[in-house]
Amino acid sequence: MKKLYALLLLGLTQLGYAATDPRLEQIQALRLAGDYPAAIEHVQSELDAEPNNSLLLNQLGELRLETGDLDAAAMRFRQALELPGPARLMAKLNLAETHRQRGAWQPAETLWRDIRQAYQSESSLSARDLFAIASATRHLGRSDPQLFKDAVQLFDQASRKDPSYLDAGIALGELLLEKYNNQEASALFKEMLAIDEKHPRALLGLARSQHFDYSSEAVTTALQALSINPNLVPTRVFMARLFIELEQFSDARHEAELALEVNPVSLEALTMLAVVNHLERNTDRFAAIEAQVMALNPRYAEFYTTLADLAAQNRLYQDAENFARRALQLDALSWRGFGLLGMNQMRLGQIEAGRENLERSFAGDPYNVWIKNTLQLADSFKDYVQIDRGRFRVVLHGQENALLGEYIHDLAAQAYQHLEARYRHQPDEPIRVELYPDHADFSVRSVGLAGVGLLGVCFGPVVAMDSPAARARSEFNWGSTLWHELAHVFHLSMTANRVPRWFSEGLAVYEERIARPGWGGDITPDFLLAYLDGRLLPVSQLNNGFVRPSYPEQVIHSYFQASLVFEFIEQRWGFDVIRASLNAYRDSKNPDAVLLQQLQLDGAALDAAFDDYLKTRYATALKALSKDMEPGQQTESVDPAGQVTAETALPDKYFDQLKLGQLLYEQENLELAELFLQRAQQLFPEYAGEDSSYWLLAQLYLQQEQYPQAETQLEQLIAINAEHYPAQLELAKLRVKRGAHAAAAEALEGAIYIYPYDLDLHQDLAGQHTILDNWERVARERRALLALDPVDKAEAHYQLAFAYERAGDRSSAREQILYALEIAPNFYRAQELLLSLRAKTPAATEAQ
Amino acid sequence: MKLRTILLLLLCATPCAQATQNYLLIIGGIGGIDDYRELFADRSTRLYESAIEVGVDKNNIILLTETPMPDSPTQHRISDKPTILQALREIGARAQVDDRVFVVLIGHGNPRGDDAAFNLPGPDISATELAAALDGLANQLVVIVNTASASGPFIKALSAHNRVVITATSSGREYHATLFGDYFVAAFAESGADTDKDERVSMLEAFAFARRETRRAFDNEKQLLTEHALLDDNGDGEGSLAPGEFEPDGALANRVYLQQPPSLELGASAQLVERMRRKQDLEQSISELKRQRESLPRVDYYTRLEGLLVDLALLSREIRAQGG
Repeated sequence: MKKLYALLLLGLTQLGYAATDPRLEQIQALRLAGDYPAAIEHVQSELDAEPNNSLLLNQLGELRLETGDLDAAAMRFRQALELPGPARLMAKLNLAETHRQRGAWQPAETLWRDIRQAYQSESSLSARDLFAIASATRHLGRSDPQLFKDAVQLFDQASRKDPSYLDAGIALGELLLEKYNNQEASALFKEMLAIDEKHPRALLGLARSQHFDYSSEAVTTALQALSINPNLVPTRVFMARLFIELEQFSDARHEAELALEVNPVSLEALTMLAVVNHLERNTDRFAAIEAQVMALNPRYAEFYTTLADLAAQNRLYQDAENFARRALQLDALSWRGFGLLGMNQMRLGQIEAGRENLERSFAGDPYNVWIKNTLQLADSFKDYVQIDRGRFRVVLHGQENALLGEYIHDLAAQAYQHLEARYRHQPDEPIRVELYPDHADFSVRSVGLAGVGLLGVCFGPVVAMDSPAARARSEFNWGSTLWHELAHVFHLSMTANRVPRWFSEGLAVYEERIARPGWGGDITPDFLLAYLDGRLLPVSQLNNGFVRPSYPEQVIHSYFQASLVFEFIEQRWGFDVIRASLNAYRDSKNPDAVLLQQLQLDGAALDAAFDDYLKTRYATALKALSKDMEPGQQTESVDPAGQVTAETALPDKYFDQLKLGQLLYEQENLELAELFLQRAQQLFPEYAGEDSSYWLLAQLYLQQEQYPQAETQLEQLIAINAEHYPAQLELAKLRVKRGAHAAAAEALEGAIYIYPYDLDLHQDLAGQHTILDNWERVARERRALLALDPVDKAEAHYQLAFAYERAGDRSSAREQILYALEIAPNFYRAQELLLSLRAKTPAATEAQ
Repeated sequence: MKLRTILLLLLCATPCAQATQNYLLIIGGIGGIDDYRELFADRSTRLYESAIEVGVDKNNIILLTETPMPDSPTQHRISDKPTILQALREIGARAQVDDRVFVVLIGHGNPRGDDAAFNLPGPDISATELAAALDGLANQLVVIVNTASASGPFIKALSAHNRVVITATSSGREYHATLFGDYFVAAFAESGADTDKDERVSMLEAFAFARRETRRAFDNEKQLLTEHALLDDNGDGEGSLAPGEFEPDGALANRVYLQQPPSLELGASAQLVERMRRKQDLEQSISELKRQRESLPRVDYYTRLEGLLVDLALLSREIRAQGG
């Protein structure tokens, strides 16, 4: 161990990380390595030789502070303050910290102001002095946010004054990160690490920065910091937080307990322990920790803001709101508390109250990007309309309401009816459904920041999602997304938001898949290749695939995999066990055991059973995707121009057959292309993505005018992948061609869930429903056409009037016909319809 | 068609021996690459065919293109500057007072300071040069439609009394190849542009159709709109993005049609002529009521409108029954 210290010391000295007094270097090295007892012993012995050394006294105070002996620490800082020497400002800052940790804001603020005055009064300031002034300024920023700018400049001055003094650069990085400027924060931490790659606090800063960016590297970096200093309390607290986000509560507890071994009164570590106990529903233990924290610091609002933050991350939005309120009771200047209160009120549908609190938060902390974004979004709510119908309150942009409102209400009602019967549960009403035509707005609504790749989010009684306008055509099925989010409404309501993420997400995708053929995620070669490579997680660890993915596609894979888990469970055990699990989560203290208890299996057995299920379900495809070759099979590529015949034997590998089929198709050798594409399809019939055999074969059959075969291919494609917009339209055409109008309408209805902005789509669908004599549907499509702002509005109003008239709604028909004739008074067909309507209903009806 | 024949009769204060004539000059510019060469040729041909379809005399149409087209409907004449100027002189020599002359430019353009040019085989023609060439058509109603990129400056250069100027872009800075021309041509070939349902497409309707479909095409591709078409018909040199019958620009364009006005048929009865006059009065009343739309309570407005519309519908039915 001593050798390690020596090496560390050598490195620090060589890199210029020398403390101001050479005698402190060894102490500093011991501190950085986390050997606090040895460091204390060392500084104590130095003090025995030189009791009036203010630097040593301050150093000893800092060590006491880090290990939780606030009284001893304060005593040493006071002693240092009474002595002349270079540590006065640092000692004053540290003394203020002991006050802050006890909730004594007034004496702390007095000291911070004193320190700040030194900037004017003292002629020569060292890097450490500047650091102390910067830190004091930062603390004072809570009542005057403009001071944060001063703090940034002061930390920067300190860092420039002595570039080897890394604490200044690290503190600047932490401040920038706190104010959401992660780009510069990240650069600073890296800059500090370039000077000392083993600085544990710089590593911790980088880990926090990575965490801000949702990077899984945060764990690795934090572990690296712990390998250097296993006793650095903030790193343990950070790890505890990560584990809480991973819903690995026992690991989080362990980290918090390790931190408390170093510093038994660490407010941050106690808070993490309280969070774990809250999430695990250990109410007695939670209450005891809460009492302990409040006894240590009766004004420690961060206890409740942290609880609010992490409760919200675990979808406990009501709890989050309650905790935020308690934070504000302790500290009226807790801008974070106002922000968390406002954000969670918005999530719970209390829009106006939420907005007011966000405004208070932003007034106190104008650097919070999340709050700023959310307030800007709230400003735009004036452009939205709210339609209450049945159990739903649908909120849509004014420009989209006329087109989408009806489809959304209809589908939401269908979903509710289906889910209510299936789950035997009725969530609280109204259910608020918000659709955003701009993805950035949805992103802000969901997490406060733009650029998040979600499609929808459910906060419980509130659903927010992209409208189809927010995405490119064929990229998104808004119908299945709405169904997915409404399934979450049931899951969260049944469990009081206490359902593990993998369970709720997997079940919601599964609900999509059974709602309509082709909805929800589809199997892909990529998914099965991940399985073959051993990258899919076992069911017992599937939650990690959602909260901290280890490879880019893991979230997508986890969604689909989790849906397969529920397919498997329902097939083998029935839906009752799923419903019973949801009911059990509400009160369970051990969520990991809930499903297993219902299935009467242990985790390993479920993992193995699901693995068998997956292997069996996709046996053919897995074989066709694996790299294993049967004896005698060749892998060389074949030149289709010269060598290929119907007898050409390729290995039974999906991609080999598919690629050859594609090549032959491109070369217009349709006969042979069909052969190889069919072979590919037999090897992986479950895959119907853009690059699959289905679309190509459909095209091929269309070219050959083999319409029944083309229709079959398209039907199979859509039954797996209903997002394929061109396939839906092509299928409708083929069905029209053979007079299957109801089936054609069905395909066109499917297309509306992908891209409802196509005039021709609604025109065609109106035409099919006209043939089917389904005038209410014709009227719906005519309304959609009007909402799309057609050039020929007179015709659009006339057609809608005609549909109303045929559907028996003469009043609406008359209203629309007036609109048509208002634009085109000599419109002959409209004139005749007007006269006909008046003949049938002579009483005057006014268009409203 | 009969209805319009009678309408024309009504509009003539004295019996007209001969209807006004429409002349159409289509100029297909230089494509630069095969894709555009084909595109411009296609648009030019479609417009030619649409004009024939709506009754423009074949002898009144001149089609100029960059290169000979295999299936060209007319004897080929190259679209270089001298030929264009010659074509305008020919039309000027034939056109009578009150005839209508349509000039449609289909191709690329580019800005030249405050001016702009339309790209041709050989030297380009600038807006100023085209304006000078149009001086010979002072007694005719002239419609100029420049569907090219960077065509915006043509508005200021060509704006004049009794003239409709349409450009695909609002300025010379909008220099990307345009879609507007495609939809402008489509307005005469496809259904949907005749928004007042009088079975004719006015220049205002064609402009509105092309403008809206262009925007829709950009929206569908989730691209920023890179062309903003303008129309000027009040001679003030300022184009409007959204002209209308009751807007500063649009009233003249609303009354100008590519359709060749039908020749006079004599022999209508006095009763029919009277009904036509009443019908015109009703249309005028509806138009006046629409002007008051914003100032009237909604219920009153639609009650009065319905009354007028019913009268008009009944009268139209009577006119049709009389063979009108």
